[in-house]
Order: sequence, then structure tokens, then C-alpha cells
Amino acid sequence: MSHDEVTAVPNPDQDEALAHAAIGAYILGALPESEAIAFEDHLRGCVQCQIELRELQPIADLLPRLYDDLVLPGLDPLPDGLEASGAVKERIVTEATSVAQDDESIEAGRVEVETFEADADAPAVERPAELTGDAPTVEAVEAVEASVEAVIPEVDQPETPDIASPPVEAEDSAAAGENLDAITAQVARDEAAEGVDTVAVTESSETVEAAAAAATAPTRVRPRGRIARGEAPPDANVVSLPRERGSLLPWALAAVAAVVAVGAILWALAMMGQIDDLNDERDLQDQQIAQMMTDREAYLADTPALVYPLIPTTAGATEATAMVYMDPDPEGWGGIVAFRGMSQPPSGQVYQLWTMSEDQMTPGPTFMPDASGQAIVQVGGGSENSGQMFITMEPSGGSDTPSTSPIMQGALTA
Amino acid sequence: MSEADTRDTAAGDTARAALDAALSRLPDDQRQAIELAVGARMTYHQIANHVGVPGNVVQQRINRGLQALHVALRDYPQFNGLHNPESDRS
Repeated sequence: MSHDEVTAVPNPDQDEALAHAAIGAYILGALPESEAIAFEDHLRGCVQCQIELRELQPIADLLPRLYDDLVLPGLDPLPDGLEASGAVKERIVTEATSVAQDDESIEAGRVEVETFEADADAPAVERPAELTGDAPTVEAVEAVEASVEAVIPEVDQPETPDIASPPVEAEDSAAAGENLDAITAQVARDEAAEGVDTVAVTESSETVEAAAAAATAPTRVRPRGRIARGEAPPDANVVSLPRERGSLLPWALAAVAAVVAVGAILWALAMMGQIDDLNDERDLQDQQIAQMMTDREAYLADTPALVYPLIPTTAGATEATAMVYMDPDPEGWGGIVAFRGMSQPPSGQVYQLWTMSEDQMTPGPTFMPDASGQAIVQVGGGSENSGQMFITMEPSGGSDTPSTSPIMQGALTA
Repeated sequence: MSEADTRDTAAGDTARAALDAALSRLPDDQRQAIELAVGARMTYHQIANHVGVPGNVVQQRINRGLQALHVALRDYPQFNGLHNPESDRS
């Protein structure tokens, strides 16, 4: 089993070859989620990858412990009070938690909307108490919708010209008409989404506008308020519709029916308009959350680790070099420091890493180089950037404040 | 070996030391790719950006590095016991 084969043999299926090459990154968790999912799809059908994965799994399992535990052979354990887990690990946990919370809040948003639908005291919706005799409920809305539909066949005959342009004198009527236009447009969408016959809704909307204009013309009361009192309109325009089309209904009954229908429609429209607004708001929040996640991932994908060298001072360690690889994630501060060419400290002494921010010196982990003079130290855990990093020689176990001059130092800024 | 938790056993410590040693013997580019992936939790895209090579090169470095670790550690019973496909099938 050789990876050279895997990568060198041209595969007629380019996607397949690409998926195969991702195995190492996959097993180390270095694939973006979408690519990890794609690889898992590939894995199900690829015996070679399955075998390889099984071979490499023990190594992949053990590798993170080299960094998590910070007890690399030759390294001292961390001094008390310092968490072994670095900012990197924290970030992953934080990220997972925040994603879960986002999900929860989205769910909560949905619940809120659903609750509102059933809310008996929905704000800003004037309840036609006489109409229902009770608090409006979802059932009431449905009943109203049903009654609206029931009324539609009675008024949908195209005998409306003189109704559609009644002598409108009051400014309120014009305002009410505009309002209705907006609301009916919304409701047309809602109704269409719920599978109601769109044609019927459109026709009813026209009728509503006409009837509402007529009903509001003689008074200065909002349509809903007027209808909530259950008054029959004195305006003959309203009742001319059923009479002209030869309805069997007596005109008074028709007038009441029309007014009730208008009231029911207006109320239902207002109700649905509010729900619609809440739905819109929730959708907008969903989009914003998704956008933030996308932006963040894109930022992290496009941003390389921040790399800073540590420079040996004249106090010692002239052979040594060190590179600091800082995670570019602005939400956490962490990374690793790779040392090379470090000499073994005298017996009873260890190296200790320090970070300094605004004259505040913070003790970091202690460490020992291995036989080849190398060491890898994980740093981080704080939320703020530290300005400088120092390495000193300290008594075994580390110190709270540096007891010797730094042997290496570097600025953690560009 | 199947019941053993490698973290808590002497064998686990040996395996870890062996892995660490094998890691330090890897070519620099392969070790760097693995260290950044595991130690700094970077995706291979981030590593590619950081190192300045295409993403597929990083994937290849990781693959080759892991293969080299696998070869270097196959004589260790801890890894043999864990990675032997026969033991999984039995």
C-alpha cells in the first residue's frame, strides 16, 4: 500500500482521484466539513480507502495527544493553574457550542412564531370580539378564512364596475384602500402558499377593496373598528352588489354578510400579515446567521496562520530558533511554537514560555527540548492577543514571574 | 490489547514516544503539514495558504507523512494490534 501509487496513477474519474487524495486530511480532521462529507461518500464505495483508513487510524488517534497533553517525552507537565488544553481546543468546543446554540435559537424563533399564531392577545390586532365572541385563536382564524371563502362565491360575479368605483369622498378611504392593497398582496401569497385557489383569492381581494372603500366612506373609523361594532352600513352601494346580480339573499342580510366578510377578511389579513412579518424576520435571522458562519469559514480558509519568529538574545541559546504559528481565528488566541536547536538546560532547570501584553507578564508552559533539540509547545487559552513572547530558564516546575533574563524573544505583531 | 486504553498504559507511553520520534524524523514539509493540521487545527486549505503551495500538495504531504509514520511504527505491537485488519475481522 503506497500513497505514491494512489497519487501517481492517473484516474479517469477525476472526482474519484480527488476524493481519494483527501484521506490523510480527512483522518486528521483537516478537511472543511463539506469536503469531509464528500469524502465519506467516496469512502463507502472505496475498499482501498477503507483499508488505509483502518491502518492509519491508530496514528491519527494518537497524534493529537502529542499536543493535547503537552507531555511530549522530554517536556515537563504544565505548572499548576494552567490548562493543558489550548485555545485551539477551546475554539473547537466554543464553535460547536455556538453552532448548537444557534440551532436552538432558530428553533426558539420558530416556536415563538408558532406561539404567536395561537396567541390570544396578539398585539396591534384589533379583535372583533362581537364576531367571534372569544379570543382569536388559530381555529378562529381558520374559521374566518373558511367564512371568507364561503362568501366569495356570493360576491364574485363580475358585476362590480359601479362598486369598484364608488363615490369616494373621505381621505380615510384612500388610505384604507392603500393599506388593503398591501395587505391583500401579502395574503394572496399566504393563501397561495397554503394551497387555496389563487383565483378566488384575487377576486375576493378586489371585492374587499371595493366593499371596504364603500364601507369606510361615510365614517372616519377604521374599517376594523367599524365592523367590530357589527353595524350594518347605511350605504346602499354595499348592498347593490347582491341585488344587481339577482341574489336570493335579502339585501339587509347581504349587507350584514358583506360587512362581516370584510371585517373577517381584514382581521384575518392583519393577523396573517403579522405572522408573515414574524416569518420574514425569522428568515432574515436565519440568513444572517448562515452568512456569519460562511464569512467566518471563508475568512479562516483564506487566512494563513500568523507566523512570528522568536529571536535568541545575547543571554544565551544562540543556536536556537523558534517559530510561532498562531491560529488566525480572531475569536481565540492560540497556536503552537516550534523550537529547534535548543540546548539541554542544566539539571533542575526548564525552559518556560511567557507572554506579555501591556506590561502584564503571563507565565506559559514549561518545556524541555528532546535529544535533537526540538520542542513543540502549545500556547493560548486567553481571548486577547499578547504582544510579545519570551523564553526564560526557570527552576523545574516553572515560576510565576521570570527569574532570569529571556534567552529568546519575539513580537507577536506584524 | 483490544481492551487497553493506550493513554493509560506503559505500552501507550511507548507508542507515543515512538510516534513522536517518528514524527521528528519526517521531512520538514510533511511534519509541518501534520503539525499544523493536528496541533493548530488548521484545514489543509489554511495550511496551503500558509505554506504557499497548492492544496493538493498539502494533501499529498499529509498522506505521505502518515504513510511514513505508519511504516515506522508497524513494528510496534501497540500499533500492530490496533491496525491489523485481521483482528478487526475476527
